[in-house]
Amino acid sequence: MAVSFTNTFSNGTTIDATKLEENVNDLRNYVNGGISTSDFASDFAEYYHIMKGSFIATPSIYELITGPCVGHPDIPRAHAFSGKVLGALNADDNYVPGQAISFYMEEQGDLFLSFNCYPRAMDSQTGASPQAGDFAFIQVNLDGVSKPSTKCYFHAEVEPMGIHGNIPIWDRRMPIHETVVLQNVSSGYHNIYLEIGMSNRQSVFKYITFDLQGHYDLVS
Amino acid sequence: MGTVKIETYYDTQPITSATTQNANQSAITNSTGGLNEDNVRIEGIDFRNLNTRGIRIFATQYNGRAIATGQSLPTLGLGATYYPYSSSVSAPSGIHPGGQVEHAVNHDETGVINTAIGKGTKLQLNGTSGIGLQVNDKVVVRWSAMIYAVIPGTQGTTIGDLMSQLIAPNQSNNGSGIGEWFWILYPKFDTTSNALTDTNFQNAADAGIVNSEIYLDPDNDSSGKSALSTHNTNHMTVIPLHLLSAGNATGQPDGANYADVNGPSETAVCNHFKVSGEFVFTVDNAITLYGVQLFTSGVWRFDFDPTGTTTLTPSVFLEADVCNPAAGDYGVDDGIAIERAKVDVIVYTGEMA
Repeated sequence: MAVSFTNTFSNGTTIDATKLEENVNDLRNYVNGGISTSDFASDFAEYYHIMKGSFIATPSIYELITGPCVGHPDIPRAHAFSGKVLGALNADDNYVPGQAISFYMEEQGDLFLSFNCYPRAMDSQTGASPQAGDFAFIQVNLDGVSKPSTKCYFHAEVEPMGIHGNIPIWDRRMPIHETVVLQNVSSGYHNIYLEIGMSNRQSVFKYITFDLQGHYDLVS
Repeated sequence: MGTVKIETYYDTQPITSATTQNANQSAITNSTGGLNEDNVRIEGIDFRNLNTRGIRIFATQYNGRAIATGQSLPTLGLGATYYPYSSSVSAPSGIHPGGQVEHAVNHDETGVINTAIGKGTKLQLNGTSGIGLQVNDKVVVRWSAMIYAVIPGTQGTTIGDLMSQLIAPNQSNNGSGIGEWFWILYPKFDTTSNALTDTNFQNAADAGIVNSEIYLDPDNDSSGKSALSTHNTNHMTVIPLHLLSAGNATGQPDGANYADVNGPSETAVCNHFKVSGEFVFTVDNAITLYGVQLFTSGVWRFDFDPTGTTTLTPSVFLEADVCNPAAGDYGVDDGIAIERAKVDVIVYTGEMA
């Protein structure tokens, strides 16, 4: 309830100091614990006044990580490390190690995510025919739901072609950059990560930068 | 109570006016529901985005056309095929035909042309109201598209067909050949009406959002050459078409399309590839922005200075010729097929509230 003053005054009469003091006390009492809910406007102290309206999840940058290893968990011949993830061919649920972020949102908001990577997809090592169609992809997954708009393809590192035998595939080590805006993500806990799938046995990802920003809705 | 005005007591008066006192009391009394954001200070919070208008709008539009790799173009959808200015292809119905300087990227989740709002890459901002851009607002547009295939043109594919003569100044039918041809992908803006008619989408300058910028725009530049020294290209993504093959079994160099549904081969670089881009600019004029849509145009190529000098001030132009080496023409009419495509828009405030 708004402050209410005990006394009002009339022109031409002396203002009684005691009554004025009562009114001052009314104001004191109002400020000192008398403010009620109804005194607040609906736009008082929005979230952006008292909490971060934006958060930046921990940037995740890795120089060298392994990708999925499907089939024989062998060691790629060109790199002295082995795969860490086993999964089915073309499955969307092979998450890229070290690239998952769990975050909590106090309120519904919008997310913006971007990633860069220089994938190196290994060849099939069959040495037979050109591996046309051998590819891998990387995309964003939020709470177990793939975001197909973010899917990026890349291809095997080596292909047998040309009169001189195997030569590097055309677009080897082509950088990939992708962004996604996720609108109206609900409050609560969420997981967001990069996932991969492939038609070959193994792949290697290098130099992945993964950046997540979120912004709470500012317009109610 | 955010802004209570207290009248001044004049010390020189022997008697304080009751009217003044009552007015001051009333000013404070009328505070029901009056405690508002003016009573909250933001000092100590120095993160710009915490202010009321840090980010004004998030918006995204995804066409939803996502299919497996290696499918045929008819399976991808006729609306997902885009033919170039230099092409005469106009059939079957439902394609983006040749002879047009640009195409809206507007195939929907079924692969057909769909000009409705919220389909293809036609992004509507803030419903039918649009968003009132303010001076100094920062607009960020990000986009990406899966180039599903380069649609082979009618030109020959051997090196003799695709490598031109020496580059000559002021000769539109000369060029460097393989590797120079490309399509472009770029956003355009509708500040005309919430109907979002394709013809109302313009570049950021023509739409009245920014001043004194000249953007490479097929709408304006199709009749001539655009010098890169005077035309902005920061608003677009280049889509490459060819590379020079290292050679096949007979050692014959060849042209290779950058994308082919059949995958890598002597004449194809890869199955499909993703392109992405980002365009950031500052708003110069307060204006309502109703929508953003991606457009694509091709085939573009490089040439020397259109003034005819020999200085290295290259320009680009929209190809109008099809390759015919015997006639001295070294153009191409390759189209592109686009699968999934999306565009994101974020508007940041440029001023503190």
